Amino acid sequence: MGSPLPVLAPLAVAFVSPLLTWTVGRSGPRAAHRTAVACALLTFALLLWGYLVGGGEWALPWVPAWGLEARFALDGLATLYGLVAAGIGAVVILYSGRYIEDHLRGKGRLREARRFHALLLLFLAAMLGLATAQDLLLLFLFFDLTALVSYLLIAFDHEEEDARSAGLTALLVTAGSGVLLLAAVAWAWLDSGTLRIADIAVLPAGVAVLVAIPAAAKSAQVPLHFWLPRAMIAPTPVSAFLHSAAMVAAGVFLISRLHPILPAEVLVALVPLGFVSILVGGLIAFSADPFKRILAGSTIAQYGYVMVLLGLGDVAGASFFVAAHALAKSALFLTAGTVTEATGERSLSAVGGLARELPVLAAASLVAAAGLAGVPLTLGFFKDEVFFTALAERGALLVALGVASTITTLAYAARFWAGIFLGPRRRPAARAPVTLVFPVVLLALLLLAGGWDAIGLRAIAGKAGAGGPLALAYHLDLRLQNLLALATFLGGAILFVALRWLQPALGRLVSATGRIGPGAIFDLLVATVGRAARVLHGVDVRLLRPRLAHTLIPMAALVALAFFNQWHAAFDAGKILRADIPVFVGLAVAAGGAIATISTASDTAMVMTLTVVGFTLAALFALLRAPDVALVAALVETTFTILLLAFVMPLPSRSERAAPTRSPWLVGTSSVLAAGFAFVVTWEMLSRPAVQSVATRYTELARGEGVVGKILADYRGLDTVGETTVLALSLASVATLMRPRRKRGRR
Amino acid sequence: MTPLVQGVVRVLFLPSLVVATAFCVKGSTGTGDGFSAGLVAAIASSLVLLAFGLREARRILPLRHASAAAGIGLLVVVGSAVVPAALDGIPLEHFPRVEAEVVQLGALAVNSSLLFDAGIAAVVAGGVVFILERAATVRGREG
Repeated sequence: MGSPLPVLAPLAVAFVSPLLTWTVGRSGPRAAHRTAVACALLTFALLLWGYLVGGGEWALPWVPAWGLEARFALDGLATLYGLVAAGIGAVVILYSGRYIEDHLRGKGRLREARRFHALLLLFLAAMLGLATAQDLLLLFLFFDLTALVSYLLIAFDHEEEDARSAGLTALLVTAGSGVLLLAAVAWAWLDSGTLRIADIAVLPAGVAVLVAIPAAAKSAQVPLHFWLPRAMIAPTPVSAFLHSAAMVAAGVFLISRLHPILPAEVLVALVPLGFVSILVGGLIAFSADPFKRILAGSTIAQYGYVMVLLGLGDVAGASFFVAAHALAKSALFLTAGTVTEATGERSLSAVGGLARELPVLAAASLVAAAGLAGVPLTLGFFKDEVFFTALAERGALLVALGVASTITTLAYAARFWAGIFLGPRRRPAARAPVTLVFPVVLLALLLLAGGWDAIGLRAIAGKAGAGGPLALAYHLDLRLQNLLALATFLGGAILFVALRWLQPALGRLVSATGRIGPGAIFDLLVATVGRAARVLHGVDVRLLRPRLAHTLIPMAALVALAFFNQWHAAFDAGKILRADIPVFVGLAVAAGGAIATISTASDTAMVMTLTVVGFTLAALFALLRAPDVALVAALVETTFTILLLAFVMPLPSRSERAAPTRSPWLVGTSSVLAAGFAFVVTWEMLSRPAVQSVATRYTELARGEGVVGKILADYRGLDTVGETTVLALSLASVATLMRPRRKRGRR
Repeated sequence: MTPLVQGVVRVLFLPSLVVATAFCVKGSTGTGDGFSAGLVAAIASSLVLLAFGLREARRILPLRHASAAAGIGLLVVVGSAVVPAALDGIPLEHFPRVEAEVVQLGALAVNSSLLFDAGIAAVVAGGVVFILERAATVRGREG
């Protein structure tokens, strides 16, 4: 490690390529597509080159005073996940050129094709950033970036209500739980004083839980799995990329990356979680009718395997599994897309017997299904070997569960393939365009090549687990792994045949649990929040005065809490000197102005009486020998009077507008409460002996005399930056509200 | 407005800008700061607006650029926090530093904190004038 180029080059290309595609895409969807394919291939090639030259590391000091830096490294784990994302991404983008054109042309949205390609590339870039990040904060940032881009991709057909709601569900589940990751990052920082993953020894168990939940949500694990089947409404290339190789992989990647510093006793909990997901995903895959929904169920189950492997501490095996699964699953997703293109159907019950009309696709897809099911001569066989090897060390129960899992995998893979390509012909198929078949063939060839000897992937996956190459090979003997594989094939075949009778019951079971499952709870939650928001809006936002009252009441409560918490009860009136008389007069005038404000008849008069209050107070500051405070007070008062008059004068007079003061008691009580507490607290504070506060000390230290300027610029300068930003924002929003309306009919 | 008021405003306008500049520059040693400077400039501009009306005021003052001034001011303020942090670590550190030799420009000690104050002044003045101009425009349309 050391040289920055191997990591910098692919990252730079990945992050420039969405912009490039967007710009080039101006001249048409074809140009955008060609650029996108070239960019993805270049990223893949650079990653491969970076791996072959031995990886690299690059760090950019960011805010050194806070110990922050942006550190990226191309290590084994980053290489594997990067190559999977870039490789599958390239194939999927290759496929999506023709697909998205057909998809968008019917809707008259052909111009958005470049947006689609740019978003896919942006997702690839986010994945690459995530894979190479060596810093907890960066990890969180890229994790969230993937969630945001996935929202835009899932809801790509934004004119459809269902697509928008599916995108929102995915965003709420994955980015919402991502907040826990931010909490984990903060906790880790407090605990170990650094954000650099390599410098952290081991994290507290609580952090591990906070990491595991968003990771499980991202990898669609039970009970947060329900976003994935809903996300199947996305265009097929999105599913083929995000929901096989990228987005769902981000979750398990997170755990793999942090595996060395997470306590193992917490990670063991991933094993039961994984098995439950295998069960639930399998049930969905057995009962669902739409192709993509079957595949979604299968993805939930397959990432359950990965979770089991991670829970058992086998990072290398998990990485290998992710790569092998990604190849097979994306090929199957693309198959589903091509079948839908050729027949116009989306469900298993509407098609059948397509092997005669689409023979090439059928063959390629058969390899992919076999790869998913772990049949020998495909890469998938090794992924099951990894799985069995990890389980075999842990006893009979896990082995039995493992075989049951692989049996279900084989059965639903067979159900998917046989349902489309075998059986009676239900619907004629158009000829599938070559560009929609070739990518599937390519992936199938890769699976077969991997089945011959998984040598390249073995080495990379081994490095991902910080060890030597995985020992994977065919052994023609009666070792446990082979027996388990045989049991899988036998059991899978039996289950596949039995599915014919089991299916109605399974379908009823899934739809019944769907009504009370986590998905239903989520929907109920969202609906409840929406209803509560509408109620609150009716109470709070519609009328201004109760709204102000609602902010005053909690304020009064907070002040009261602090006040009674530190009760000193020294209310000292002090001595009144003759020199204080002007102050009393001034205060009396201010009080008079305030009372007059309440009882004025017109808005203009109200502004003027308010001004009385303000200027009197400014004068009092001058009397108390604080000219700088007085100056600011006077200037603020003047400006506000001008602004208020400018706002108030165009309004119709009070008698002309309906004045719905529905709750004068609420307004009155809350005002009196807030003001009363402010009064009591101030009095009590001033009665205490003078305290040497930080502020006084600082003004003494400061060279000048202007207290206001000192405080604003030095003592709390960073606050001033924030306040100035808020000020500019609120001025901008006021200006936006006051924007002169355009003349009608210009549109 | 009467010619008398207009005359007074004409006479007062430039001097008040001078006062504003003085507030801004003197900020770190005497009374005044960027915030007050911005308010003075805003009040002076609103006087012009009131005395001459919107159309005439637009001719006299570059009112169109008020929002841009506020935006640039915000950039300067945020930049003066972020740039030193990115360079060597402490947000809002000013140059030359406290221990370093003071750079004199006549009687004025040049320091990058002047830029910070000027930024705040630009945000305040630009924002307030922008809103006033908007209010005047709306009023002109409706009244």
